[in-house]
Amino acid sequence: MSFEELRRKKEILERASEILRVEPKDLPRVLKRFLKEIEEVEEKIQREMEISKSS
Amino acid sequence: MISKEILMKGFQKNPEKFWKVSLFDELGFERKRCKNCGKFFWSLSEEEICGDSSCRSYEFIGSKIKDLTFLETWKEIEKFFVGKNHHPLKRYPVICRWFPLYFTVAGIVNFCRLVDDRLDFEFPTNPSILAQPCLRFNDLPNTGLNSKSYSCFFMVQQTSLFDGKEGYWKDECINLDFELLTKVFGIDKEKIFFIEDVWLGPNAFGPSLEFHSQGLELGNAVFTQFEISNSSYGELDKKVIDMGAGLERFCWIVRGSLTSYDAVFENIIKKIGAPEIDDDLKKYFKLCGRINIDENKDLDSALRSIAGQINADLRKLKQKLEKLQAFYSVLDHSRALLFALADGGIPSNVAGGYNLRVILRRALNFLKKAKIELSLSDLIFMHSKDLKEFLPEMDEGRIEEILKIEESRYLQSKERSKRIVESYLKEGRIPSEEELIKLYDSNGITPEEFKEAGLDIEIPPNFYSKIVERHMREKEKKEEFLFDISNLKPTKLLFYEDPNILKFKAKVVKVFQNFVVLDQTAFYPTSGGQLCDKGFIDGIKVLDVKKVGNVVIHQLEKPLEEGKVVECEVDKERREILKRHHSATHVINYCARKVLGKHVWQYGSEKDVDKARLDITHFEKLEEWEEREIERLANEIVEKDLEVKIEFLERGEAERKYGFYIYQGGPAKEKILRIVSIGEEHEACGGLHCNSTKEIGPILILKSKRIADGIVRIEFCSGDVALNYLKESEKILEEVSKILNCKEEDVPNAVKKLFERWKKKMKEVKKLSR
Repeated sequence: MSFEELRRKKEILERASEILRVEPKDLPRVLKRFLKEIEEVEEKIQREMEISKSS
Repeated sequence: MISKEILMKGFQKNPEKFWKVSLFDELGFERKRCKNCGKFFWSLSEEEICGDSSCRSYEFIGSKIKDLTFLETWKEIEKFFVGKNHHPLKRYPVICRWFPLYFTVAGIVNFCRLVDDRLDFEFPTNPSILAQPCLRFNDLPNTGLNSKSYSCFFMVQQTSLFDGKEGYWKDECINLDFELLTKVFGIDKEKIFFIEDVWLGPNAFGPSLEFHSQGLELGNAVFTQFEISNSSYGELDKKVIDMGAGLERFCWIVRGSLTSYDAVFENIIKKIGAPEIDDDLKKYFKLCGRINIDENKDLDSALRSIAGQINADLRKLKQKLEKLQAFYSVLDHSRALLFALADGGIPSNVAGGYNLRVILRRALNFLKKAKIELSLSDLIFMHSKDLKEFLPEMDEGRIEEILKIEESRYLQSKERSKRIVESYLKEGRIPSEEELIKLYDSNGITPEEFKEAGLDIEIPPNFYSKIVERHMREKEKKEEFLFDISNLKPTKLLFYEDPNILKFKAKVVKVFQNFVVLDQTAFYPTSGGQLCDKGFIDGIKVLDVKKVGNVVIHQLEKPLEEGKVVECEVDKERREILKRHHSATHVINYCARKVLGKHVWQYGSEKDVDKARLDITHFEKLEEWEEREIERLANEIVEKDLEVKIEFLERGEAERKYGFYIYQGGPAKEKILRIVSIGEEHEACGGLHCNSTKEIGPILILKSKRIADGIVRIEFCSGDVALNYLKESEKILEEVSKILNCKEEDVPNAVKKLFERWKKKMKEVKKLSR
């Protein structure tokens, strides 16, 4: 892969990291956390809804 | 310890030997002691008062000798000296790159160089003459008030190096200066006074003769005759004539105008309109030579004495002077800014840039106070039109840009200052002098702002001198080592003899705990921002290498025995990376100058193995396109496979060949310079480099940021380090795109969406928990 192509990928990564204001190397970890937290929240909401339905 | 007082006393035991020149004998000058100030002087006049401004009023005001403009005055002087076999020299930059000073403060600074830490003079030709614009910021409070002080003045510099054969000495110097005063400028010889003085430099001294006329010091001929070495002194083999005269003062005395500013800035004053000057002020300006705020400290008492003498109301006089000082000072400050900015200076809060910001902000305030309906840049470019021949390569666009940015920064800071000043007003608190200095240093609040806001404060008379002096001299960082190495021979530096030597044998000549000195070494010590080599000595890990004086010291993991012959090996991989990063630093510096402008100068650098950084002088943070363009140009140079040339040149020759740009790393302390050239980039540099630019490999700018006002840091890496960095980024991007289940180019969008979704969910969960 050419230097230019690799450089372009670096820029994409940097742009993405800037959105969350994190270092590029930390981006995967932060995204995984987000996904996990979203999942947890959704489960929680789901549970709450079920509880309210049953009561 | 030699002091000026001791020298004066010593020389005065035999004044004929040190000060009497042949002219005094030929024309019958007599030596007298001034009845007013007590100084000794030589003159043809029978008067017993010397010609200094503290002893006389400006007696020449109102009597015009010639109608010369500022530039024409210089042309007359130059013509005279060239006719007397002096080589005319072009001016040097006002930003001093070759000697550890921020600014060229005198004409002689042009020829000052360091050899180790001693002052040495190097003259490109002999004898020579030039008009050197000089910047001095320690006389700001007097500017506009005493008619002779400027922050930017032109020093007429007459120089001769005398070794008994070439050049000339005291007699000829004073003959020439006397002829200039009397024949060229028609000053009456009876009105010329030579006052005895001495000059004491860091490692040289000598007598000097100041020449004064009618209350104005026109010049000072310094005869650098003796050198000081190891607390004893002796006569120099090559003595130096260093005559510096104020061009502004010559122009003033021949025109006999009310103030020197009226003579020097005549053209501009004609265009913008002269200020109103009533009889009181006319009388004041004849006597104002005695105003010297630094010495008098108390401006009020000096003004009171003048007001008494001219029968003027002190309060009214002060009011009128305030406006007039603003008018004359802004004319002076704008000229200082013109030269500073044209020569690559940048107003900031670091180093010499600090002083430039002080005068820029003063100038903006004065412009308002003097009610001049022009912008600062208008005024600056009016000067540049008058002084075109001193400014051949001026970048007007860049100057305008810097001024615009600085002005808006000043307005912003003024808003901030207003709030701080108001808090003082509310509490009825008066800031102390120390507080005022602190407020100026950290918030840019001038004491005038407190006064204008209605707080009853006395502005310390030498306030600006005090803050400016704090920032005036470069602090020399000296490498300190705890152990005594003074008896050790210089270490033989194998990396200069052959940079390919990585394995070598050496004898341990000295051991201090874990620190080892070898008779020779191929380990490059940390220097010029390049971090040191590492490796092994006798199988022991090398942790650090530094150079103290001429001795290289290796810090090891364990001690070694003295006298042992040891096998040494330099870590090749580390060395290669450091070399690439060093060559890349030169390339980036060159490209930054190409893209951003000639004001870009290396402020600092560090070449490590994971990345390198170059700190440059620049007034704004870099735009993305600027960063990209610097990188693109740098990689173009890499691709061109230019040879990295190393040559050894005598310092003067190197300066003539490549200019002062070679001093990117600061002033050199050697007479022979090692010049590293990459294409058009030439730097005095002791570092290790690649043989050609292709060896540097691809250059990748990692990021840039403004680390201080006026300083931008560029971080980059090259070669395999750059490729590894990019591959690592590629891996992360791949991982991220998998996590987000999208294409790589869609990652930023997907991150944004996920972030929004996460924020929404977090809000929902908050509601639930309520």
